[in-house]
Amino acid sequence: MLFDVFVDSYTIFAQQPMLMLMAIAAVAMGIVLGALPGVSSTMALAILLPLTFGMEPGVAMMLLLMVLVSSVFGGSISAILLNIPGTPGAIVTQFDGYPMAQQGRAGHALGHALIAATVGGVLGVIALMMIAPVIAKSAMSFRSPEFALLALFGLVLLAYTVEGAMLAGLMSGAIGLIFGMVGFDTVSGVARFDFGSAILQNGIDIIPVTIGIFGITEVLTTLSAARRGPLPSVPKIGSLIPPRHEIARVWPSWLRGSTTGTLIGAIPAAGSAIAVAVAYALERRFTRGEARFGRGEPRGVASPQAANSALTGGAMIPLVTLGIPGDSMSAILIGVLIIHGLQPGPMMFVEHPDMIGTIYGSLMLATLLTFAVGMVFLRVIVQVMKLPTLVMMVLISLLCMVGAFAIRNSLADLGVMLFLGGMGYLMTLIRIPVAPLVFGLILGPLMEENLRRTLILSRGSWSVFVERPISAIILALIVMVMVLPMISHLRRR
Amino acid sequence: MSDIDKRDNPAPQPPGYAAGIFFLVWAAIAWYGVLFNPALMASFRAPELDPVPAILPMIVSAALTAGGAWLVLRGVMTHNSGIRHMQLHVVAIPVFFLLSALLTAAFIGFVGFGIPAFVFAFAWLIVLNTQQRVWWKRISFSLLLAAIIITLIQIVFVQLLRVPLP
Repeated sequence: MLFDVFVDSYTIFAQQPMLMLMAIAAVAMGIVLGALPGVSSTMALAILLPLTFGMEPGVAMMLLLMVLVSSVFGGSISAILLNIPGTPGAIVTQFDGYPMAQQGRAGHALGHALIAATVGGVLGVIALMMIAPVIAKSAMSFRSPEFALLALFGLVLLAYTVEGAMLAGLMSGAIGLIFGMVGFDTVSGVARFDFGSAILQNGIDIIPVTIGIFGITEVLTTLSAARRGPLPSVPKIGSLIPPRHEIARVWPSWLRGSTTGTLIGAIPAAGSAIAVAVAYALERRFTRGEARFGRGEPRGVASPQAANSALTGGAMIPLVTLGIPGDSMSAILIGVLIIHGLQPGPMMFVEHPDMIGTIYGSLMLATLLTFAVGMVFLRVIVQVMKLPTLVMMVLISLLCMVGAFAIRNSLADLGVMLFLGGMGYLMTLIRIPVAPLVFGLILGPLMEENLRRTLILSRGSWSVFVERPISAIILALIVMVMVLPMISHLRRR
Repeated sequence: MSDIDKRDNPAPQPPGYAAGIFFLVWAAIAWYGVLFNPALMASFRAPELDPVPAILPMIVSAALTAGGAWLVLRGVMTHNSGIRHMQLHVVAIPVFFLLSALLTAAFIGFVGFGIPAFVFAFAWLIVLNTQQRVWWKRISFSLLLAAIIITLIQIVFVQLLRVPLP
């Protein structure tokens, strides 16, 4: 049935040329934003999010997925041409991509990245289509205790990803939980954390927080970190199509990278930086003694790029099956679903199979369109990188301000967004990870609702969490995730 | 992780007592929000099966207090403030940028979107476009770009998306 919906989503594209044009424009915009140093895929999603408020949920999701997938490839353009990764996932691409560009093979490096991104993207979507229904089917038997613990598990995993700042990540998530509790409690009607303010009684919307943390915080960080003066000059690109003998040598790297990216992407919180680092390390191991990594080896471009693109499909697995964001990008996508009245999770396969089909179809189409747009327009898109990054920050901050206002036509939301942006910047200055705050805000209400439902049904008994086998397993996993780093830390000392 | 990663990315410095103080401030706000909310505290005495709406806020406040205190203690013991070392003028730019954005937001409420947003864009384009060293070119470029940005926002959001910008 899901395959039919997947095919149907293409019929819709074929019947509505305007939708197809919008998709192509979104892909081009995603490549441009990804290519701009200082604009991550998450930031690209955050600033374009407001454009989708008035759209149908399916169209909104489709456009944002186009931007997401294409910006992942876009990040590799500046990594290869300027030695500045456009997105965190492109950090490894520059190790061999930039030396290739320096050797006058910039076009070939970009071609390798584009082909690998396409293969990785397609394989990632296929994996998503095969794995997601199986997990969702198993998750159908989950009830409130399991969902409460699953939300907590997601929060702990997401907060624990930052090396050296696990506790701070968890505390950052706790602040997100508090933000999620602001306003009238849906069960008892009691106002919480409102401090007598009518504005706070309405609650804090996810979107201003998301735009503030992933938009304004990033703008402020870029303003303080960006290099002054002109960027390095963009080298001559040349032919994008790599030589045939090189493709024959590189194709196994596409498969290795794609597999690594999909598997790591499916683990909530693993993130693109880990996936590309593992893919690169594996590639070096597989080709020991025969490759010149770090000095312009095409396999050093292909494998991490395939992993980075496959990761997008993998990261969708926890989102669509369990309603847990795999990373900050999927956190924004969850926000989109929530503002359109959809709750991601296993029930979405039953209640909104059309949305699942749209996600599958859009991801696949986005990958193919990225290849087509990249092949045809890459030389034009590269010109955008000549724009000063700091100048772009002015435009981005204005878009964030308009976007925050547009949610509820409220200046209060604009104030919340700017406050959170400033707070996020302060947090980065004192080394507190900011993304867990958004995860806490998203997962908090889900966790509290299910926790309270569980306790009502169990007449206040907390033992229900260990009596049910699945919830006991999730609880054990939570304890393991929290305790293992402590044990490893103690053993190191 | 590859050798290159290890070489280029040394282990990050952990958060120090500054982060702990930050969490303790939030813990204080959270405790104030719980303990000085009569309706919330009264829910403890309500004879009902529903776990009171104050339980999770209290658990989270307690966690923030414990976590914040631990970070302060660890930071003080290891002499680690955890604050990134930055020159003052580098931090000044984002701080002024944020303050001017807040000021713009306040003015939008009084005089509408167009003028404050244009002034904000124009001023910061002049400040940030350091690549252009000729002043009159920088000013005219900023003027033109600010006008284009505001017009585009008006077209996309007001005309196409029907957002009623003030």
